[in-house]
Amino acid sequence: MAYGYSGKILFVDLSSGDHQDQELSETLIKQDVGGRGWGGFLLNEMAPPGVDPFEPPNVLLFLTGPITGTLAPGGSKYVVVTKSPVSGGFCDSYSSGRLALEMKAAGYDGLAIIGKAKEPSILSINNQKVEILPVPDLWGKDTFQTEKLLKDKYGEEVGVACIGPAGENLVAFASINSDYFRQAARGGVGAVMGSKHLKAIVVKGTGGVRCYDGRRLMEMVREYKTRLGGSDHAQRRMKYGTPLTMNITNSLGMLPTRNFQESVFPEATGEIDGDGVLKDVVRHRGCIGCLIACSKISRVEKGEFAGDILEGPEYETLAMLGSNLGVANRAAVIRANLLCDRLGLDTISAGNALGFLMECFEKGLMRGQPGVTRELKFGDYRYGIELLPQIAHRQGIGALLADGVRPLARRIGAAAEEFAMHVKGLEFPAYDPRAGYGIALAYAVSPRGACHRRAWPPRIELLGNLPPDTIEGKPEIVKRMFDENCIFHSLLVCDFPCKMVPLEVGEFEDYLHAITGIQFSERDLWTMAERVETRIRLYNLREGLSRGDDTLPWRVFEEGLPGGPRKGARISREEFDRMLSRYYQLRGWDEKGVPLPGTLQKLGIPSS
Amino acid sequence: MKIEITRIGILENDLPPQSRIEYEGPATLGGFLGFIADEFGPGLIGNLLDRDQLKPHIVMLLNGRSIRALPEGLKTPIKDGDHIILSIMMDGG
Amino acid sequence: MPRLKVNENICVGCLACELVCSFQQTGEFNLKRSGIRILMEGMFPGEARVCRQCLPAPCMQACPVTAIQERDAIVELDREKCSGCGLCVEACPYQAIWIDPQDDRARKCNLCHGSPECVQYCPKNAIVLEKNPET
Repeated sequence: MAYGYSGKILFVDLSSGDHQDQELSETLIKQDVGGRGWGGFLLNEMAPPGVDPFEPPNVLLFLTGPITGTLAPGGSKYVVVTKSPVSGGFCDSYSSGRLALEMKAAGYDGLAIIGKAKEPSILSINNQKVEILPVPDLWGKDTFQTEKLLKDKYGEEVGVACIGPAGENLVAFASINSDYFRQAARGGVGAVMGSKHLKAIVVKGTGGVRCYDGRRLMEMVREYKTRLGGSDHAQRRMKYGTPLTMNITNSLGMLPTRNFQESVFPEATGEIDGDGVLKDVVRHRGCIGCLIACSKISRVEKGEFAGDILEGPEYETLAMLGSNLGVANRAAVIRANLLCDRLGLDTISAGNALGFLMECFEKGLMRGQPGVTRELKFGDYRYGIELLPQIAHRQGIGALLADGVRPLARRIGAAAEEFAMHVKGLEFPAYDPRAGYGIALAYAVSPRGACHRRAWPPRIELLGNLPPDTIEGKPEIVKRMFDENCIFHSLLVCDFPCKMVPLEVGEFEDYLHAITGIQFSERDLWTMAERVETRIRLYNLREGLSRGDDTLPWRVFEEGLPGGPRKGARISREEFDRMLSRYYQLRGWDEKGVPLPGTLQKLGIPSS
Repeated sequence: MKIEITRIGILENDLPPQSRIEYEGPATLGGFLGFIADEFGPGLIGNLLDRDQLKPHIVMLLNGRSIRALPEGLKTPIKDGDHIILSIMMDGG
Repeated sequence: MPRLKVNENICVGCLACELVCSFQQTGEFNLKRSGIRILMEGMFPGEARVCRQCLPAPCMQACPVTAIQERDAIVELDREKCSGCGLCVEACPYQAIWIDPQDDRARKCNLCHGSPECVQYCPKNAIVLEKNPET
């Protein structure tokens, strides 16, 4: 394992304190490449069937890929894979961070953590020196304080992943944070880390990533940089970052507004959209090694939140903590963003949960809930902001929200379940799926729950050449997009450069060869994606998920969009079912979504 | 005729995010695009069009529908009160 | 005598320069073996540290084994001669020379012997080769 890969996975048992290096197998490399691919394999292998996600035997994986740590595009990401306390199934949550590079520098392509430390601890890795150290003084601190204290102790040139109070309190949407402003946010990965009494991971290594043909790699990077400079598309995307997405979703009438009751939010224009965000941007920022540098540093100059400064805000946050709450006050969204970062909360789920609560109040459903004395209304960002620490600490009304919208909706009763916007318990991100059948399918079949990161169908069915209101071609494009992102997220690269420059999967054949010396063909990569998706499907089935979970909330089927260009649009249950069946068929699964024996054979997955 | 135009990520120096334009040229999307180019600089068409087709990274929507999904493309007729969006392609977020 | 200058206001903290430099100098990508470092100031990218090609060079004066010499208008470190004593690190007023953690010898910017690579890769063109005002 001389090139690209570091060659080892570190297995740690927090209960016993034991740790062990395991050599990265040929099979893991050739069959699953890295990142998400490894996650699909290792979670199945290591997590006992039916395990409670908060019990010690659940495994918490931190995984990189062969591209990680090189100058190939998008190579500073890691993925956290675990059994989600929200969905009870597979969860992969991605982040950028120096952690990814330091892991490889220390000699590890991945970390596999089981068990539970007797007291709050950190996992410290310094090259080959692995220690589990109690940190009673860190427990309770927010993520910024935690990372700062760890860097005071271990130096600045380390990789850190840590949880805040939300993770400690097993909040369903607790995140794992890196480099202060980056999170592996979704699916409750921070809560799993908290359940293991693991406050942080600190990694430092003096090794590097050696490439098989570094010269060729740098040639490709130079060419890529030239292409990037000449790409009008990339230059414009870089200028605005993700917030420009709001201009699109608002114009197309698919922007979550007031808990998805509406889909157009006129007040957003120039305030919390691409143009609005630029008003507070003081500097641009980028992930390690990325030449795109699409993130921003924003500083609030005046008003009640003057002085707030952060990396961000990104589209999802602006929508879910903004339009979704009826809030167009950018400084307020920035404050909420900062709080979520500090507390270690996923901004998407936090915004979705607050919006859900607002609608419950609006409909009078909170009368009779014990301990509820003050109403949270749409637009009331001040009270919303107050609730964030309450959620993280499970206090007051925050305790009701801390397990996510699905349990709260169940508790409140039938009407509330109609507008609890989630799939498999994971709260909707910032695209209303009534806008297009492709989006609806992507949300429904995403293994971790409602997710916009597996496929982005609006590119084809709203901005491209297919109409949004039919099912023809949608299973095909969703599968294709899923598989493409699966490849990127296994290599493990950020898919943004790929989409902006653009970079095709075929080009990664060359990158992989230059880095690892291994010849993966493009076909191998597409097959790997199919293998990984089917493996993940098997895992979810094993854990009790089924076709019934590949569905959408009542609102999506029964309430048409009230306004905007897609006014009246909703998803027909019959059409959805046909589309879902077709998707299963394309995957080689039966009507119930169970992989067929022939599929397992074709993909080289042993049937158990 | 009056055309509502929304611009996203392009034409920032030339148009506000949303505006209403008085247009008198050929009543097609292509005609309107040509008018925009004439109004806001001759170089503009080069940025948006590629041999009479929209560049892959440019999006044009008529009343919420992508012209790539409209059978007549740039020849699609337009009328008073129509809403046109000109944007860069988005993908992922 | 030329030297590198980083515009810290437009630097995005991507550390591409560190990856490029380490690859150029050592053949591997390693943030700890780079001749240029971007420090974090709290939570945001801050100061850039890279050899200022001083004349006279304090590191040169401090080196007990004459591993640092001026050659062709560049302050050159001969890593073969270096004993790893660390006196240059202490002497550098800009903290722009470091001990390589793998071979325990000093490492600093060598301008890639003429055409600095980091300049080419910086996504914001924040690094320039400038005429050293001290010469």
